[in-house]
Amino acid sequence: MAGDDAEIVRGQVEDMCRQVLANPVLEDFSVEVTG
Amino acid sequence: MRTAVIVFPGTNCEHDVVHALTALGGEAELVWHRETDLSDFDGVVLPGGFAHGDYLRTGAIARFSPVMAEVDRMANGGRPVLGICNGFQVLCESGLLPGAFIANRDLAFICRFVELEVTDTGTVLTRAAEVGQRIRIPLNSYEGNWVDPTRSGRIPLEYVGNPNGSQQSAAAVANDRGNVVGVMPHPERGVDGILGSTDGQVLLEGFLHSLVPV
Repeated sequence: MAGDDAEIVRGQVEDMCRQVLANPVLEDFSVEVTG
Repeated sequence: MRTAVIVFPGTNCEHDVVHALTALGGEAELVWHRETDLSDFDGVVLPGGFAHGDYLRTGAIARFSPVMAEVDRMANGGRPVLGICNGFQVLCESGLLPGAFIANRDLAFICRFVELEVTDTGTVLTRAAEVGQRIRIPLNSYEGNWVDPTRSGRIPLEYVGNPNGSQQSAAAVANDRGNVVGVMPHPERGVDGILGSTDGQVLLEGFLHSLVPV
């Protein structure tokens, strides 16, 4: 996912993980911003 | 009393559910997942299948279907809500039931009759049965292994022999009120002798008896 503001992008990806990509009952996740 | 039988893209047991509920004297109607008003219905069933292709995880996309806001409203209003197989997975993903599903213990699809034991009759699915009653109906799933790290689920039906490794041998899980229930085996496929069992009748009759007019 591309963007100009690293914190905004991180927040959006964390929302995606929390809401759909990961199942919080069983899974954890981490987000890494590069570049 | 009317039951909404929700149809997601990929659902494939909806006609079986309508047939079973109708054969038992109920009134059931197919409802597309984009519906946003279930106020004319007294209860709802999420049938089995592969909602939204089971992409990402079973039930993970279906929980965002427009109709799920109404299912949530009905559940919180005390209306009977039943998820069967894939519908059970959708209810867990939606947070209406505790826990989650992983692949069967032996990493194999299971398609055969299984025996269940009734352990709690305080739910809309088991209210017409008796504690200790044995029920034989088909199981048909790959990700049927229910796990709940919080151990908060109410378990009205347990597998005899636990074919898929489900925690606490859970074949069905209910919320605290007992009005929202998910069951992994298929009661709608056990309502006619020609299908090899009529044991599913007592479960669906319990559901139908739980319906009260809106």
